[in-house]
Amino acid sequence: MSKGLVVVAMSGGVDSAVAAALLRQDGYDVYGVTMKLWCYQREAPTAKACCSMAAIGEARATAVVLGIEHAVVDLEEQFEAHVIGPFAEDYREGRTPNPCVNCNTFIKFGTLLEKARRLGAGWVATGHYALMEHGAGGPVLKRGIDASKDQSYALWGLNRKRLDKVLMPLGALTKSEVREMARALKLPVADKPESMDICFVEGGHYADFLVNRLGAFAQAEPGPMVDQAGQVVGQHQGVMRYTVGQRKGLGLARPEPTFVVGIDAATNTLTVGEESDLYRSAFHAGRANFVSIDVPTSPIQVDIRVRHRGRAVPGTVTPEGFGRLRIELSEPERAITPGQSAVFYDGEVLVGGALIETAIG
Amino acid sequence: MFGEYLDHNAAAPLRPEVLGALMLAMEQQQANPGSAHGAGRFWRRRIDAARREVAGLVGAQPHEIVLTGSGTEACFLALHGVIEAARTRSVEPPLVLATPIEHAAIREPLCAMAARGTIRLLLCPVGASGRVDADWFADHLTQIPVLVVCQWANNETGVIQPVLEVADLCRAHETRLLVDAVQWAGRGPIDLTAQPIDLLVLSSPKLGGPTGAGALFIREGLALEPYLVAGKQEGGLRGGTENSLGWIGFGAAAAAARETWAAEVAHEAPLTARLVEQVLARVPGARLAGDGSTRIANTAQFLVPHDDEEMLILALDRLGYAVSAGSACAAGAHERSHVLRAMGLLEPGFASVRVSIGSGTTARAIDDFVTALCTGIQAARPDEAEVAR
Repeated sequence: MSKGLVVVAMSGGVDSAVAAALLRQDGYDVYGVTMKLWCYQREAPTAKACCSMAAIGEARATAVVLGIEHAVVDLEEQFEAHVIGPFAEDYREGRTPNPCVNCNTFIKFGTLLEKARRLGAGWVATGHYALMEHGAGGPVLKRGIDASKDQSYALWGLNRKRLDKVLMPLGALTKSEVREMARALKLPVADKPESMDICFVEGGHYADFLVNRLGAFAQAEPGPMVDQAGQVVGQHQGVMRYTVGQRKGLGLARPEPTFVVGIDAATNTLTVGEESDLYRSAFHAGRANFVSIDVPTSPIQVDIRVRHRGRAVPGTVTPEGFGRLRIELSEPERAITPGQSAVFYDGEVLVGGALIETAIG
Repeated sequence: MFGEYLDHNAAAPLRPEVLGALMLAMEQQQANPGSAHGAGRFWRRRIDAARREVAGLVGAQPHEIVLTGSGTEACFLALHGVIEAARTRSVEPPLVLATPIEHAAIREPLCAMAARGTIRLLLCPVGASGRVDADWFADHLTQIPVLVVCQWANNETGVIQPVLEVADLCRAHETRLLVDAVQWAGRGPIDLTAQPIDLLVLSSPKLGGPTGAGALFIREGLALEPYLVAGKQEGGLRGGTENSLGWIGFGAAAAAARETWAAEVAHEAPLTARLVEQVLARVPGARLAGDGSTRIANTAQFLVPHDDEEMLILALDRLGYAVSAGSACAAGAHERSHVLRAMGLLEPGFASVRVSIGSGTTARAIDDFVTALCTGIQAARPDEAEVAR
């Protein structure tokens, strides 16, 4: 007796392949969907880009081995609108975006969920390392068991009303367990190398990507580099090439280690300083979303991560209305970067998150 | 295994006669039809026989038929052959007249040539009827085009085009006419002894033959510039070892279609009428593309209220019905119909569903399909979270 139909987002990688296999073993009817998001018709079909023809072929080959249905679904328009467009805009405005957040929020658990329902599927599943629990008290999203792979940081944008339609079968596994399973199942992608780059940017060269896409723009041109006092100390190659906390590539010969501490896109100015200048304990964030609780109306105490793989620091989140938050940490964090996410936890439970706007003080 | 097959315009099931001919042929010693020895001559004779059958279906002489690897290849051979020959005679880019609802095999090469400046391309208008107006061609033939292109029946809507009127006009203006008859062959009569068409394209799988085979009729006396210059196969117009099995199967399909097409039309026409009647009655807001125009007997394309055409087709597949929205691209991903766009029928909130039936389709299957269509449309009702967003 089948548990029902589930759509698995299959990228052609090993994680989503094992997720599909586990759901099948668990008694679901599994329908693999590979989203055609971006590159293959514009760039050479290299194996690296996750939406290349090669990746579509690998997903299809995996589906054959697993004996599941598989289809390619065209989401290029949505990906452009919700991921690529905002990604480019963020760099133009001096922020450092994490495009996976928008992809999860709007594509995988937005459009794909809507598409799955039109197929008659009750769930969408992914190969994320996060624990999606469906207990009697309702669905709860937690960090993945494998701390080195935990992907909950990029999942804070999920719509709470739809968590009951989301499955993440890898949350209780480690990466090496997943690899072992893939080999045991003789999946064609069992030993495929990990993709760490942004899927639509070839080889991690995001600056080239932006210049190709946007043509000439002010934030890609050289400009002044100033110290905390406003004194010009050098020249930079365009603010979009830098991120807060960066040390390498500044081309400065100063006795003390020097870091990017601020980006002003409007004037194409980079502010540099010492490591101690990077530490901040309060900031504003926007576009807040809450996954485990109703939108709070008074301050809440949570653990807060300000970067992927970062530690969680206790702090206070104070709602200021219209999705805007004031966040105070119990101890300063290094390089709080506009455009990255501030993600809130209650122990292992993902509470919510927001986009970092500006540091305070 | 794949459920009810209602996508005959994409590729029809292999006819039993074709399967028989292929099984017999596959048991023979394979050889190159170009070889001088007996084994080679055996395959040469079989290809000759297939060519006669294909010619017989359309009233052509066997030497007027070039066998190809697909209908698309036949289209390209014709387009390239006429246009390149004309370019050697003229400095100006030659003019081509065509309809905007041609299959990608015609449309894409023509658009690419026009974009490169190799040709000047004029497309006729087409309204919601889906039928082009022969008068437009009469008006524009005075500009002395080197080629006129007009399909016989549209692959999506099934609407029959005024090909014979256009053919008479072209003859009167001494202009070459290329006709894509891929969806018409086997669904209506073709007699090239009487019909003044210079170039005509056929496709094997649409006739119940194997995929990977097609043909181009080239009227005697017309010289084309080949694009695949290699060996002297197919009169020097298509270099490369012959697709013997594909063409033998194609020949068997053409022979069978010549015998049975009228009976097939008689079987399909009332079933398609039943389908149209039921969809319009049971699906609120549904409409028939090309309503009011004469269509081939097996085809009906609908616009139904649904916000995601691609998922509707996949949902119907899961419910056990193989249909399509229009045409699919190589990756198996989705593009919306250029035919419906040209007809002004691509409205947001409406999905296209093309149903093309065959001799094996039953009334029961039609009724059950319409029920599945209603189920698929129901699933597109937005849920609470979607409304909230």
